[in-house]
This record gives sequence, C-alpha cells and structure tokens, in this order.
Amino acid sequence: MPLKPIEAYTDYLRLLARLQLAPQLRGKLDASDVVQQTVLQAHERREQFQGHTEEEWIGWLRVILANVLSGSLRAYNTGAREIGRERSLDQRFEESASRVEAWLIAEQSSPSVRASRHEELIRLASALSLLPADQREAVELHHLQGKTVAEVGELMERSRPAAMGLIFRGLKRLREILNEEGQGNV
Amino acid sequence: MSSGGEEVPSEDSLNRILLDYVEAIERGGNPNRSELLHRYPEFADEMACFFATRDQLDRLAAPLREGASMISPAYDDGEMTIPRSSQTARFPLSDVGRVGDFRLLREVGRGGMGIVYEAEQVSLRRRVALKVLPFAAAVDPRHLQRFRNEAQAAAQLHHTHIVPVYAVGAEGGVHYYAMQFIDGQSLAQLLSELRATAAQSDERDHAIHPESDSVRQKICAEKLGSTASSSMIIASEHSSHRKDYYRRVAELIRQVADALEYAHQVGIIHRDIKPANLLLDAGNRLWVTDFGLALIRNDVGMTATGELVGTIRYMSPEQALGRPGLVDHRTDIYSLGITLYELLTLTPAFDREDRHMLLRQLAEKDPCPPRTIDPAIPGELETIVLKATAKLPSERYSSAREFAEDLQRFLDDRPILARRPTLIDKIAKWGRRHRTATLSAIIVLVFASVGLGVTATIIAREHAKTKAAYQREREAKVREQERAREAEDHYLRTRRAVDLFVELSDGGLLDFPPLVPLRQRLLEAAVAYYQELNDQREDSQIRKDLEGSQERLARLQTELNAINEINRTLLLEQNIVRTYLDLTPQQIDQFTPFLNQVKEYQHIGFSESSESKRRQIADLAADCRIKVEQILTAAQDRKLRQAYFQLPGPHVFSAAVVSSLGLNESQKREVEKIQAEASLASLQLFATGEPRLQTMEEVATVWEIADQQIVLILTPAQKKQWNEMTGPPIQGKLRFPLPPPGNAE
Repeated sequence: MPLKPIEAYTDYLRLLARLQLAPQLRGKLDASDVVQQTVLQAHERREQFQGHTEEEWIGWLRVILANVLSGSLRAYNTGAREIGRERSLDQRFEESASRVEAWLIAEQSSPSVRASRHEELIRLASALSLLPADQREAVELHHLQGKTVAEVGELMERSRPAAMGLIFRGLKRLREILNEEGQGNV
Repeated sequence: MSSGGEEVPSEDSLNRILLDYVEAIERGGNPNRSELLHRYPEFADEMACFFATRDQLDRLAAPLREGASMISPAYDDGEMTIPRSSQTARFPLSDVGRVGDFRLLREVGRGGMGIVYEAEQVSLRRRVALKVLPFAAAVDPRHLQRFRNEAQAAAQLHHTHIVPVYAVGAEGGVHYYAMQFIDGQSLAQLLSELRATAAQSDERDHAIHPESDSVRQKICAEKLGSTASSSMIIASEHSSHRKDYYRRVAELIRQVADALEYAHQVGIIHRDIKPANLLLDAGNRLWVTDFGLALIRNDVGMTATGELVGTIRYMSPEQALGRPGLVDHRTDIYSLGITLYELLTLTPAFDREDRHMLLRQLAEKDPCPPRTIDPAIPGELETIVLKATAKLPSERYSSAREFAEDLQRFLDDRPILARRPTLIDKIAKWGRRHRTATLSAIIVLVFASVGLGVTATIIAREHAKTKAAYQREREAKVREQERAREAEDHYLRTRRAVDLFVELSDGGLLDFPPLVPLRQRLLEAAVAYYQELNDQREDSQIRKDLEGSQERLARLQTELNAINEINRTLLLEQNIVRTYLDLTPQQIDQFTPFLNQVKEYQHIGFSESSESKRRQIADLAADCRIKVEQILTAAQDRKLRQAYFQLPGPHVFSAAVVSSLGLNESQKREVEKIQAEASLASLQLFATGEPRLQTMEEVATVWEIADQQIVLILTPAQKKQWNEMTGPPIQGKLRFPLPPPGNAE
C-alpha cells in the first residue's frame, strides 16, 4: 500500500501537539507552527525513513513531532528567560518538555498496541478540527487529557455547568461529523 | 464568566444532570445509567448518544491519555526508580505490549536513558530486561550507527559482574537493548532506603514516634514482597554492625572495579558509573549495567534538567567540563570512587542542585573527607576514596585493577598502597587554585608589611605637626588646613590597607602552615595600627576593629605556638637531630610510635579553618610537650629548641624572639622588611611553579638567606644572645618536617 503524503496527517499531528502542550502555554506556542515545522523537517529527511508500513510511517512522523516540540519548548524557554517572565510559566515549559520526552519514550515502547488505533485517531483528529474552537478545547481537555469538568471550567474560565454544556455539544457535533463521513460507528 | 445565557432552559437542566453524572464518576462513583435514562425520559435520546460517544472516545483516547499523564515522578535525578504497585497498575500485564521477539511483562524502571521492562524473549522463552531507548535520534542515522557500534562492543563483554547484553536492535522504530534480567535492585535504591532508615533511627533517638515503626514495618513488608533480601541484610548491617557494613561496601565496589578493569582491558569505558547503574542481586552479587550507553546520551543530547544533573554528580571533572580529549578509563575510576564515597557516608559528595554551581563544585572543591561525616569509617577506606576521586586523573589509581587490589588489601587487613596527599601535594593544590588570588595578595602583603610601618610614622608625625601648628601659629590657618587634609588622606589610605589586611589574614587564603607566621605578622601590624589610630582618634569603629583583630591575633598566636611545638617535636625524626641531642636507642624507641601519630596532624587539613581543627592541633601540641618532657632530659629539651632555631623559616625571628633580643625600632623595621621580602619570594615559588619537594628546598634557601641577613643587623650583644639561643651548629642539613612523600612524586 502506498503511503499517504505527510500532509494527510497534519490534523492528527496538530492534535498530538495540542495534547502535549500545557493549556497555559497554548497562547505562547502555537501547535500549528510546530506542526508546520514538523512537516517541513519530515520532507527534508524523507529519505531517512526506512520503514514500509503506515504504522512505521506515522511513528516516524510522531518522533519528528516530539523532537520539534521539545526543541521549541526548550528554545522558547531559554529565549524568554532573559525577559524575566514569571517563574510559573518557566515551570510549565519545563514540565511540557519533560512530558514530551516521556511521551516520546512511551511512544516508542509499545507502538504495536497503538497501531490499530491510528486510523481511528486520525479520523478523530480531523473531526475535532471541524469543531468550534471552544467545544473542541473542552472535549480535548476532558476526554483526551483527562481533566475533570471543574478543571476544564477553570482553565476555560467558565462555570462547571457551562463547561459541561460545551463538552456535551462538542460530543454531539463530533458524532454528527463522523457519521456524515459515512464511515459509521465511532 | 458564565455563558449560561446562551443556553436554552432545557439544555441548561440537561447540563446539570450530565454534570452530576460525570462528577459522580470523577469522584470514583459508578452511577447507574439506565436509571438516569428512566428518570429523565425527555433527555433519553441525547443522554444515550452522550454515553455512547463518551465511551468510544474514552477507548480511543486511552493511549493518548497515557502519553499525556507521563509526567512521571520517576524522573528523579535520572535514576531508575522501580514503580510502586500503584504505578505498575497503570500497565496491566496484557496491555504492555510486544517488541519484536520480546513480550513485555511489566515496567520495572525508567529514567533518562529509557524505560526498562521485564520481558520474555518468546523464541528462547527466557526472561530478559528490555531497555527501550528514548531515541530522538531515530531520525539521524549517524547516531543510530554509533549506538549500534557501541552497543555491539558492549555486548562482547563477558564478565561475572557485567550484565550480559543479549541483543541490540530495532523493531518498528523502537530501539532496544535486551539484557539478562537481574532480580534485585540498584545501589541508588539501596542508598535511598539506607538514608530513609538512618533518618528514621535519628528520629527515634530524639523522640518516640508512633508512626515510624509502622512505616518501617511497611518498608520491611514491601521488601519481603520483593526479592531485595540482600539489601535488607545490608540495611540492618548499617544500623547495627557498622564495621561489617563498611567491609560489605568495600567488597561490592571491588567487584565493580574488577568488572571495569576487564572492560578497560578490551578498550571499553563505561562513562556513566553511578549507583543507579550498579545492580545488586539476591545473592549479594554486584552487576554493572548500561555499558556503551553513555556516549549515546551525549549524542542524542538528552537535556532533561534533573536527569543530567543526577548524572553529573558522579562525573569526573574532565568529563563534566566537556573535555573529551582528557577523558580516559580513569573517569570510571573517579565515578566509582564517588559512588564509594556516597555508600560510606550516605551523603552525596557534591550536593548542589543547580547545574552551574554543581559544575563549579566539581571542578574546584574537594568533598569533605568521609571521616569528617562519619568518624567510624576506616581510615584506609577514606584514603582509598580520596585517591580514587582526585581531581587530576594522574593523581588517581592508574587502573581499575590497582583500585580493586587496594580494596582487597583492606578486606584482607593488609596495608593499602594508596597514600594520603602529602603536605606538598596540598601546597601544590593550594598554589594551583589560588594562583591569581595569590599574586594579587602578594602585592598587598608586601605593601602592608613594609609600607604600613612607614605610613604609621608619617601619620603620627603629621598629627604632631598639625597640633603644634595649631597651637603656635594660629595665623597660618590655610597651611594648617592643608596639613589636616593630608593627614586625613593618609589616615584613610592606611585604614583601607589595614582593613584589607585583616580581611586577608582571616580568609582561608593564608591558612596553610608555611604561611601562618606571615599571617601572624600581618595581624600584629594591624593591631599595632589600630592601636595607634585608636590613641589618636575618637572612633568607635576603630575600637571595635582593634578588639576584633586582637582577638584574632590571640587565637592565631595560640595556633602558631601549637604548630611550632609540633614541628619542633617532629625534628626528632631526623637522624642528625638525634645525634645532636645524643638520644639513646631506648629514647628513640619510646618516641617512634608517638611521632607516627603526630605526623597525622598534617592530614587534619588546613583548608577548612574550623574550631575543631584548632582544638585538634592544640591537643596534639599539648601531647607533644608532655611526651618531650617525659622522655627528654632538660639538657636535650634545650638542644631541641636550639635545633629548631637552626631550621630556616619565618618562625626563627618571631615577634617573641625579636622582643627577647631587645631589637630597637629601626632594627625591627629592618627585620620586617627582610621577612616581607622572603615571604614574597616564597609565595612566588608556591604560586608560579608546579610545587614539588624541590620547591620546599628553594623556600628553605630563601629563609636561610633571610635569617642570615637578620643576624647581620644584630648588635654584638644581641648576636651573643642569639648564638646562645641557637647553640652549636648541627652537622648536616635540617629538613622542614614533612610527611613521607609516599607515592606522590
């Protein structure tokens, strides 16, 4: 089976990048920029990829993403430190970077388990990208990052019931999108 | 804040129902869905859709969430930590996965160099430890090749104390390293348990803690559950049979040194020896793991802060400071020495958390000698540690075999070969570290010793003149004011010099034996100054400074007397002195063991000037006096004093001698000047060359000349008195009492 072009995975990569960035950092470091850089690097190093399956292909892209992400987190952090940014933010960058590295390790430790879910995840990622921004953020925080509803509310500056509403409507819309694609049963 | 206004009423109440449901789950509850659907039929459809989407999303997101929750507390100083049962639960057996021929059973540790799983090699049905590497380098084939080369080389190592590597490879983008599974724990874990136990017993010593026993029981219970029984034995040894513990530690480190010797022989350097890489199995056998991985980490540029710092702690200075050209097998010897240090003292040799401070500490500071932390540590082990952890590779054991052999000698109760650094070594080190500081200090010192006296006289004179002028020539007001200003100027300049002086004599800068007399001279000058200034001015600060330096002077005087007493006693070692005193063979026999004991004083260490060190020196001096009076006759005692005056050095014309000879003021100035020049010359010898035994001889010559010059300015009567103090000249060359050079060059 011929491999899909790198661009087919941008939604997916963007989702992964968003998940790895602490919510407090989203305004500072843009997931789209990270993904753009990832795609660029992947093109440059295309001939270094030696795998054959889609699994390997996606795994390779993820590793590049993780590298770019941890690199830019650390670069941003050192660059900004001189300006005298508040400490808590430094800490967040550090945490995010460590998390990305840990993820990188985990990512490579048992890919075969996850391989079966890549396709579903890729579809999910493109569906998520079609949601209104606030619904998408609420769903990602709650379902993909495991935040409680109260935490989601706090991060998004909403009341708990309002956060719940965003999640509910997000899920509803997500189901519609996935069904519209006619690919059935997510 | 609330966006409630957007919502239609029905949706609002649905949101509350869902919120109750979700929050019940978040609290750990298990609310009944079908009951909810029945209770709110109007929302049944929407709720059913919600539940279904939610379930599917949760299933899909599980791997993502796992990745997101990976901020793991296990990033603890880069050491592999074994997850406690709660953590393991996150990786249920069936879910861990498979890498090639290996079925992963459970995660047993993680750190900067990857995650380690207990795994089964399916084709051979054997249990292995599978290390999955954090290969950011997966994208760079050069790194990959380098890793393969290193790992392949490491896989060729076959030694009883090196964890065998079964396979190195890549499978679906995962790079792994399969090793024999060692059922046990790392020395890093052992250390943290020993520390915890030690802290607990400290607590119990102070107060009865209802909790500590149950905590202890829990630790024991956990241990019984694991296979770490040998560590329990070690822990109990540490708390009750300290001697056995030290021997055990020496034995474990010897095993590592053996393994390193073997690896070095075939040209492989480990580069990352630290407690976390030394595994202890249930049979008390030690295993070195992770051969060939350190280089890769540098390649990959793993920069997780904590991880790197945890590793730097055990790095040799040449390695930590990134001087790859200087890194050879002796870097492993150093790291193993630092590990031994930590096992003996339960304290890290270098403890700064901040990376830059840690690097500085590594490069510049010697760790506290182990026995200052725990006096029960055998002296031989301390010597071995100090030798292995010398900052300069050339001062360490030249091979791991020598290291292992010395540990074996200790275990066999045979004398070890390592020698403590001698005084010369210490001076050499002092000179190296203070080179710049020394040179600038010299200038101040010389100005101070020579210039101060002169300036003091000027001030006194100016003051007298000013006063006279004021009284007699009221009309010459302008001139008088000028003089006053000049005097004030002198005064300020002098004060600055004196203050600097006091500061210098107080900082550790001059705190090593050959310079103690010089320091005393400086303080004497300072006291004299403050005294003079105090007489002339009403200034409370001066009075305080005066008191301060008088106190210091008194303390220093005591210390100096003690050092002189000790050095004088040590002269009894030299044959020419024994002949000079006509010692009988019995007297010599009586002295020998005592003198050996006295020589230890030179190891007290003069870089940390502490109260306890002063006391030690004072006690030793008192012992010397008692022994000398017990064994020597009064006539011999007098001759010993005479001999000491013939040993060239600043102690010869000390303040006491100068005053007992009754030198006049101009003679005193002359003596000060000669001694200041000699001090300058000796400081330069120490500071500019690479000091050796040769340097000490050159310094002796400098002082020989200085002392002769002083003798020349004595009046005939003083000269006669002097000759009585020194007695007939000794036949032969007196040496400054130094510890035997040992194996130092």
